[in-house]
Amino acid sequence: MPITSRTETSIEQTCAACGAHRTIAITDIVARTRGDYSSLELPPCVCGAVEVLLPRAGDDEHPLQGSAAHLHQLVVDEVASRVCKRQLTHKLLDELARWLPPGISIRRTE
Amino acid sequence: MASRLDFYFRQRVTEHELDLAFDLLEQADHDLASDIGLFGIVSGAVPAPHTPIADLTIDLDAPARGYDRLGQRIAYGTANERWLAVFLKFDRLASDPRTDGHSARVFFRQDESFQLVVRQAPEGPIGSAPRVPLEDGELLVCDVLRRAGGTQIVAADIDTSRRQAFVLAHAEAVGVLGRLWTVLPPDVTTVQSALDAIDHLLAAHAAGTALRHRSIDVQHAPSAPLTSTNVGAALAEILDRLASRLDGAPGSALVGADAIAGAPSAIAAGSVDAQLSQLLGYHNGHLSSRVGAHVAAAISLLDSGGAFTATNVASILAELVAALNVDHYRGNEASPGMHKAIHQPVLGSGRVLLWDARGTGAAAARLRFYLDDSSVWVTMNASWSGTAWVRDTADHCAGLRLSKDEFELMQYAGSTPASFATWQKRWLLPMNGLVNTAFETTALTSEVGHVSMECTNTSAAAASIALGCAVTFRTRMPAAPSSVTFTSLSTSPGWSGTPAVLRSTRDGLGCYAFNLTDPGRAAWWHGTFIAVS
Repeated sequence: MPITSRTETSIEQTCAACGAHRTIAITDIVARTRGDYSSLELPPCVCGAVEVLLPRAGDDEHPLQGSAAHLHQLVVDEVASRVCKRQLTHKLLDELARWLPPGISIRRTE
Repeated sequence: MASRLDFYFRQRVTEHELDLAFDLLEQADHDLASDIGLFGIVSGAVPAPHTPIADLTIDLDAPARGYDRLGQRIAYGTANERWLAVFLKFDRLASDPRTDGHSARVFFRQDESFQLVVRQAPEGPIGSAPRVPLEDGELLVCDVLRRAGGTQIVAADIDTSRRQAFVLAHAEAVGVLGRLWTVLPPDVTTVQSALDAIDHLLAAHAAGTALRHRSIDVQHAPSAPLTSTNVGAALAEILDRLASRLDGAPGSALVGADAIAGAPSAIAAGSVDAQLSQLLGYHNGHLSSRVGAHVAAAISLLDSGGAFTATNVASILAELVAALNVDHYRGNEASPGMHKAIHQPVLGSGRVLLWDARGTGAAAARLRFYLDDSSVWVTMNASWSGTAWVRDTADHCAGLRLSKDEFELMQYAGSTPASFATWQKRWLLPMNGLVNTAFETTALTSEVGHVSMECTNTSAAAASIALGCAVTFRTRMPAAPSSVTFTSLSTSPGWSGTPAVLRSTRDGLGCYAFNLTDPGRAAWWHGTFIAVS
């Protein structure tokens, strides 16, 4: 699981390639936009791997509500709003309040 | 109450007046019984044929009582008995009559004679009637018992226990000198006491309670094969012979036994030794040969579990063969014992267990087959409780499901929870779906793949050229990935940056990059991606 937890200013990330853990400041995350599609690029890991976060483009509901995949998508969407300095939508706020209150981490074993 | 008569002083009472007094009282008594309806036989007087031999009379049992319509009481008591005693009494028989000097008649001869005198004792209850007392001048011959209704005197009625037989001298009056006696007690001084002591000792001797003979003091006339001359030695000799284990002369050879009939084998009369030998021969023959052994139909089976209809071994074996022959090859066929096609009847409803195999015994590898209304389930380390899957042991568990339209793989990693309703990871192949070439995952998934993009700057000047490619995931993710991690394997000289994702879906993604490239030179990025959903 790439992102395991987040705060207002940073995220805790585990590299999918090498498994290294690190803390990344929100300000170190770079947004890339091409047309109407945006993605977030994290700083390279020590192993050279670069993780790209993919926020949801629309309001499609995740098919596995409450699963680790769903929670990770919520974090990615929240981080994307912070990086791009966008207002969090009501729908996202509701989902975060329901599934991922502050302090809750995401565990892959779920 | 009764009418009264008032007798007065100096009255000359007549017989009639006295009788009248009693008549008045008696009449009052009768009137009272009549007034209250006291009538009939109260008890007793039950008739029965006369015994011991029925005749023209009947017997009424006793006691009995009742009242007639005039109030008169009719009652009689229980039959009693009475003892008679027959005595002999001395007497003289006068004869030869003569006239003496006073002109009186006398008998000159007074010969000795006797009289038979029969006296009766008072009547008494049966079993306790008193007897006639003895008379000094008479000799009691016997007592005779008479009972009411008896018409005969039989032997049982004659009692001679009190008969006054001739006694020369009473044994109490004859002394003895017992000082040298060794058995009788020293206080024996009369013939009577000596006889009493002897009787006592003799009774104890006969009963075996005292004064018993020692067996060696009892004479024994030797008879072959015994040679001893007293009982003690003879018994010891018998025991020795019976306990003998000598070859050819065992004790059992001395004990006889009668013939024992039977079929198919019988035992002839002879000694126990001979019969044991014969039995052993039959037994060994029975154990070592089928000939003469039990036929299976003659052997019963204690079927406490009620597993069979038949009750003997032959029929039970036939039952077993008939049952096993459906799905197995018989012992006299090729591949004996092996299965033919396995047939099973309806086993229940819901999800029923078809096969439960423990294999090597490893709990985590226990294999089960289930079937429900739509799917076959094959599991390892998981059993269906009716509401949830239950791990056999705290380890990973897995399974697969096949239905008419779907094929699915399942896994629940870890050791907890002990039971669960939904599998943690699932890979579904919708065979009848619109997209039916890839598994659809319904779990957290990491997809690893290869990304390559390469392009050549064909212009005459250095330029920022665009590279792009698309990858298709091996499986259909539950949703578009939320993260893609790129790791480069090879990049062109001067390459800068990382591919960016253009579009992503649950089936794949597109990626692109820009790179400043000299004229006529190629730019490339080859690497791997890890997509997480």
